Amino acid sequence: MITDYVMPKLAMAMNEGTINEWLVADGSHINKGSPVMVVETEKVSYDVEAPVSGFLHIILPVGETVPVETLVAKITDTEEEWQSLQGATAPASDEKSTPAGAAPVVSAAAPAAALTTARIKASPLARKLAAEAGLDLASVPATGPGGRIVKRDVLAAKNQVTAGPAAAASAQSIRVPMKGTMRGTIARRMMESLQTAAQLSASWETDITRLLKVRQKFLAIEDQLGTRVSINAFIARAMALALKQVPIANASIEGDDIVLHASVNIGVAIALPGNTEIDTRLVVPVLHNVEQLGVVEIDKRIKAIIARAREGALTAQEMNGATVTLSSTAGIAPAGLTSTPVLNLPNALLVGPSTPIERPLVRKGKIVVRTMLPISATFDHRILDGEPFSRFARALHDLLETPELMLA
Amino acid sequence: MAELTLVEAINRAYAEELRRDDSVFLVGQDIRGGIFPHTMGLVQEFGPERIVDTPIAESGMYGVAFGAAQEGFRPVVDFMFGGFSYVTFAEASVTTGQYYFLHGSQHPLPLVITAAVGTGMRLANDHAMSIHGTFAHHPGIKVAMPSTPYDAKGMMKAAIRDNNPVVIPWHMGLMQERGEVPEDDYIVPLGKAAVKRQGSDVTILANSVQLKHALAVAAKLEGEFDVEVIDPRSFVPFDMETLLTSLAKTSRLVIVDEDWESGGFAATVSARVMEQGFDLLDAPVIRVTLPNLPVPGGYMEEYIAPNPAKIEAAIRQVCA
Repeated sequence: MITDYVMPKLAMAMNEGTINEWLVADGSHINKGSPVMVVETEKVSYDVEAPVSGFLHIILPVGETVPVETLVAKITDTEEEWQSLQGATAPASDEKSTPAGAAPVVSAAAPAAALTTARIKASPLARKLAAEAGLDLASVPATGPGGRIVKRDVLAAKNQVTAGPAAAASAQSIRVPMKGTMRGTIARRMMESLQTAAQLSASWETDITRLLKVRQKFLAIEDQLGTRVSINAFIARAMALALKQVPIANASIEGDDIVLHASVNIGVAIALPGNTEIDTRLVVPVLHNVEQLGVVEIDKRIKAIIARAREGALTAQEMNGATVTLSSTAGIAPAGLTSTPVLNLPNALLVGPSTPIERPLVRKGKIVVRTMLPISATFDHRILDGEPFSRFARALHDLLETPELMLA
Repeated sequence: MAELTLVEAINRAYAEELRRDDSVFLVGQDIRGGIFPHTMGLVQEFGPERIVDTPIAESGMYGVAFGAAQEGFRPVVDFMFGGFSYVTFAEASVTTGQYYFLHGSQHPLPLVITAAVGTGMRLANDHAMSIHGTFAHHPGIKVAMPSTPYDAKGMMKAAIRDNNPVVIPWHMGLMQERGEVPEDDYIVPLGKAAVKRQGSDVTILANSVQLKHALAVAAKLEGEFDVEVIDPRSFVPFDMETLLTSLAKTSRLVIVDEDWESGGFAATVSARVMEQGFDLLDAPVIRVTLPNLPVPGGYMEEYIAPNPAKIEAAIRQVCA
């Protein structure tokens, strides 16, 4: 018997997935339940298991992004059936793929190698024109459907060549693919956010001079605590406490209802290097039940998820369930920066602290120098109004200005 | 020059050929009275010997035509609705198509099979299905279909004079289509396509009612896409040269056909284009056909039949 192996629906919102890696070589025998491929979707990688035991016949190569339920492979009961498929439909992967029966390929370099040696998609006419013009198709940017090089691409490349090297050098555009990449996901989500939520942004400055002194006390016993507690940990703690005072800010819309979440799960925005040297990526892993944690534990957990984000090892659980977002640009942005952050749906609130700035302030009739933390926040006016938002902002402000309140 | 409807043009072709050649006669059901008006008045001029009504017995009716053709007559056998030809399909397709070959190329079988076909009247199944693709599948039979009154007359006359069995279905959606039809004794040669509209971005191959749709869509998209529209007119033999000449210019092809998708005429042309014109293509060939479902009756028909919206979507897809 031959079983179809399709792109699975791994999450409610999943519409398409990218085959990041085949963990087993074409033709290998696999056991039911063993991991067969790595699928990336909505920024998370999943190991997908074999639904049945048998011989794997790979149809789609690494790097393909396809809709859910698309046939990606077949699994045959017998080797003969596998061989019959070889005759009928050769795998679309490149010819240099591991021969049948070879050891499973699990080396980290494999996906990249497969991507770079993948067949160049070009229309027959484009191939003919490129051959006539002596153009290497690998150097022709594709604009056709599914990344196919079509006639207009070859003509454009030809024009660029004939325009001469000087002209070519002065106009080197770079193309960063969006389709099927994390860039595409971010682009779609940001537009969805701006198009569906009633976003209102506000910014203010909070005096963190005392907070910095408190932090110094934590740093003094850094070895004992096992971590160098960051300002972000205090901000996360203060957010959790402020949200306990204003529960409507820790909410989201589900269907026709607003759901006020029982726990504070903070999605922490983390910037990562992009697919190319030019673009960047963004992931928002989640710290769960922050209201139950102290700053030291929060700090350790933030550092752990940042490390896992950089390794690309975040699990689906770590990516899901945020009830509020923390997106800090401190240390990167110029001091005192304020902004109008875009909500990370379905969260009703995003808090975006930035780089602190020293300012002269009037305290008890005297001018003093204080360290001010600029905080920008965006909330969803569908869920809460200015009054509760202002109470939240005030609570957060007070907690950070008077850190002792966090003992409450 | 007279302006006639498509059925009037067919009627003229019958009358002219019946007058010209005594071996020509018509056999079918209700062709003296006329469910469809294309045989109206013929029995008055040519008599019941040459306008032969039969009982509802397609095999017998077809046997009359087949036997007469063996004996040197040139019968036109009218199945009324195309789907009814399937009642006697073994004789009409396999036996008919292979007859000349199996008799050492000594005995031609000059007969014409005709019938009304096509969607648009919401008649369902046998009353709405197309037959050109199924007959075209069998060797030895010519198959053509008129899209205009001019072609209807010229094509039917060419079919009657041809020494091969020829199938000429005509689309009910064009029954009242009007066009200029010369009084002259002209024929439209079988095997010649017609370029109905010049364009440079994409070629649409479409026939009968779908040709009308394709031309309407091409006019609508003017300024956005420069659409070339070709009427194959004849499915067997098919004018590959005209199509390839067009593709050399446009490199993109949409085939619109009221036959089923699987194994249909559009599938055959698509495969031939890959075999003979692969290097001309800048995008995969797209077919707009009936899905592999029985043709439903009533308003449901609109969901499966090719229509201008589906043709436009195909043009946008192939030009992406």
